[in-house]
Amino acid sequence: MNIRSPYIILLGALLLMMAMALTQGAYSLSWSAILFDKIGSIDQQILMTVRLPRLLMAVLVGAALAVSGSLMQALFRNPLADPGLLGVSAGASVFVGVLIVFQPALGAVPLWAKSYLQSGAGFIGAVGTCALIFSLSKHQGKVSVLHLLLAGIAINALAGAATGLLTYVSNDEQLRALSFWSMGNLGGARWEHVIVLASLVLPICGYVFRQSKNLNLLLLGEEEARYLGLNVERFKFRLVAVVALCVGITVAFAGLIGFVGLMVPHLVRLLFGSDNRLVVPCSALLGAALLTGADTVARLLVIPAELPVGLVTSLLGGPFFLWLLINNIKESR
Amino acid sequence: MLQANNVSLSRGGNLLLDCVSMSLESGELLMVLGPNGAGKSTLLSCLSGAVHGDAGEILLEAKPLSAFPIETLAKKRAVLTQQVTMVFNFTVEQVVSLGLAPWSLGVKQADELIQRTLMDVGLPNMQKRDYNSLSGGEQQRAQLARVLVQLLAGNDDLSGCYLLLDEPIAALDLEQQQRVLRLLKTLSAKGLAVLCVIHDINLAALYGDRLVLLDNGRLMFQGKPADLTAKPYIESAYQADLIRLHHAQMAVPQWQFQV
Amino acid sequence: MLLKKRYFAFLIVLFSPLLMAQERIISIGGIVTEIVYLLEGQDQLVATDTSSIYPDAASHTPKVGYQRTLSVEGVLSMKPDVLLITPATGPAKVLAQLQEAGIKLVSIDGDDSQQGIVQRVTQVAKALNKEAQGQQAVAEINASFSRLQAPTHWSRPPRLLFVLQMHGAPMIAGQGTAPDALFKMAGAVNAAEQINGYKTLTPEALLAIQPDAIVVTTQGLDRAGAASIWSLPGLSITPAAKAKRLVDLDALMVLGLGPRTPQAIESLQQQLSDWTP
Repeated sequence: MNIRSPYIILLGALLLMMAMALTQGAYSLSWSAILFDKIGSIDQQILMTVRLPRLLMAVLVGAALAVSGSLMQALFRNPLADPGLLGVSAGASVFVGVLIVFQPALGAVPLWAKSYLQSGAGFIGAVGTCALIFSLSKHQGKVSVLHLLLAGIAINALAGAATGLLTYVSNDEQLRALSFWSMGNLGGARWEHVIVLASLVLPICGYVFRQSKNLNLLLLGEEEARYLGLNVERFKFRLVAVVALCVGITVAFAGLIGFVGLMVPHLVRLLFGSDNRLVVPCSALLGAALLTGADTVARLLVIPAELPVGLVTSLLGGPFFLWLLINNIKESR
Repeated sequence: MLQANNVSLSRGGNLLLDCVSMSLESGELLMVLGPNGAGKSTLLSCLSGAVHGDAGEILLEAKPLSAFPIETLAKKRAVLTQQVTMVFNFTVEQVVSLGLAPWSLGVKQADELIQRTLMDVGLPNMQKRDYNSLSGGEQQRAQLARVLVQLLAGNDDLSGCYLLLDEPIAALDLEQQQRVLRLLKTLSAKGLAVLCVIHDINLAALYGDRLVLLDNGRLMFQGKPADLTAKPYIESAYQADLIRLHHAQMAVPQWQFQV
Repeated sequence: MLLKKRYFAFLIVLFSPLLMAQERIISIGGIVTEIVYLLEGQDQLVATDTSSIYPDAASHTPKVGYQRTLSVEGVLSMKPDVLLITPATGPAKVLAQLQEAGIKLVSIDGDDSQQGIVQRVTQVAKALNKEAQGQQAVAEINASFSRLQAPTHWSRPPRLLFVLQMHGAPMIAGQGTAPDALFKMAGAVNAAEQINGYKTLTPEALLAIQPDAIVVTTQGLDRAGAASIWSLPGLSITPAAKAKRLVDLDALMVLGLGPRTPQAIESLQQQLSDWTP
């Protein structure tokens, strides 16, 4: 296969999804009104304040999640690794949960800060969890992938218990907020979010694309990668930091969206092979396309209500994950 | 020259290396021998810098190994560990091309080098095969091709280069054993310093320029194969009932089992 | 002497239900507890659930957990005679076990209307043996309902949208919810009546349903701030946003109907008194 054709296929898919997301919705846009009416018409406003920021957020969040997934799978040398595995998203969700339940007890918050509180809490939670995981997995001065994994499992369990505790002490209203947030939703997309996301996700993607050759080395094993001239410790540290940033920012703005990080890199490998120089950028494109598509489905299926997009991706991802698992078992026989 | 000076290492109360001193010179094929658990792989780990000894030092060209940046090391030294597994499905070509990481080679040049090296290790026309569909012996040779490419890609003169191999012929049939050992011999003749951990004492004596014999973490012998006849080094290290013979063509000792 | 003492003790046991005619009651559900306090039955109250936080005194009573996840032992440890429950109380298995343990379960139920509220008050009064107070309370509730009057200048009912969750796509209250009933009683219309229950609204649909005002809980407003409500995608194009018309009601009053519903309606009407179509 020509080296360019995967990009052409995926870019085409992404553009198709974007076109769908832009044209479909509860409100039927009149393109003539958008193009020819004077600035500020309803149709233009819908396009500019609702659909476009949301579409861009879906693209950025999808790309960030899928890229994080491909990084995690290379780091752990395991096709079942997922950004959630480190416990970063779980840690972030605990922070948001604490905020939802205990904010009245936290005292007065300046007015301007209120609309950023939840996102901020998610981000702080993600970065804090990341720091904790790192300090737990330092083993003889090195980041041990095994310890990373164990710390992640422990933190996931702890965070699960903490979230359970939160739902126990919360009232009906808070309970709804908690469960709503944990299913993921892109409906809050605003231009500010898009700008913050883009300013983080795009440079990260640039960095990771350039490092994808080194991801391949990591697949040989850490020792082998070192013999090939890769500063493995520094590289692992940066990878985990990048994943934490991506997960933190997406969790903060869009809540928990499952399975994109697991599913997309795997699909890419099935379609185009395992070379990370291809897997990472292709994952970004496919992740963006997939989440944009899933969000469009979430918006269209139950008009005028909408489904949480995390629910749609999980509904797609759950069966896929099972299939993956069964296939894996069959192969190892 | 790659040197170990009085290197000792213990882990969990076991002395794995006991004051070992040895050297690997440019242009030689050095065979490291010893029974299971003698410390062969540990010595290789120390020499490659993956493990630091409790005492002693590893010198590369008279400087401590740790003084070299890993990027520099990657250009002049390649290491093949015992078992390299690939979780994700790479083609043979992709696996071998990982050896090019320290260098920036043009696509055409790289393709040529990979093709040539695969031919040398006896895997012609295998570039597009899935690595995981290869047999154990084929995988081993593909990995050997990877470490060879790592040194061949950027060094016209191999005399400043070092190749450390941990049991590279363990899973190979007779034809491939001979092919690989001849290849190593050819490379060392071009100046490459090759260290090869090996189990077959006969092949070691036949192909090795020099031998290092370890037993229980201690260096028992270091020298030319012909000198192994001076004392029963091999016989006492391996605790097997052996008869010592001579190779029909070369003045090196060979061994057979006693019935 | 000893015999006499025993005889006396026996008598006490025999007549104890009469001597201390009060049954030990646990009230489950915020509205039920509120009614118990309204009827001044709190002396009989030995525990409540975590959703019982009005009046303030109710939140200081012993708690037997969240109404949907009661545990048998937790309830039994309070040695209740009667458990006042709502349709939301559960799990069903626990309720069955409690019944087997000899505890009387009294279901307090009624639809989301004036009549439903009255029905609940009557049911609680009966369970507390306070029929007289019950009748008085019902009379007062009916009276305050009849005093209510939608502002006369509302030539058409205002279209209201209750927004529960202000992060992400707005979670709104559709048909069959307490806010929906409240709006109808107040002479307004639920802008999202084509939706059932609490759902997330796709932001573009805001344009189609054209709410005249946004209703939120006071607690939610405190938490998120008005700015974050108006910056919800799609909301800016609604009549509500153009007039910055935001109504806030106490969460306890708006998320369930009870004796204070007339007050909630009054507050709603008052906050919208300057609204004209």
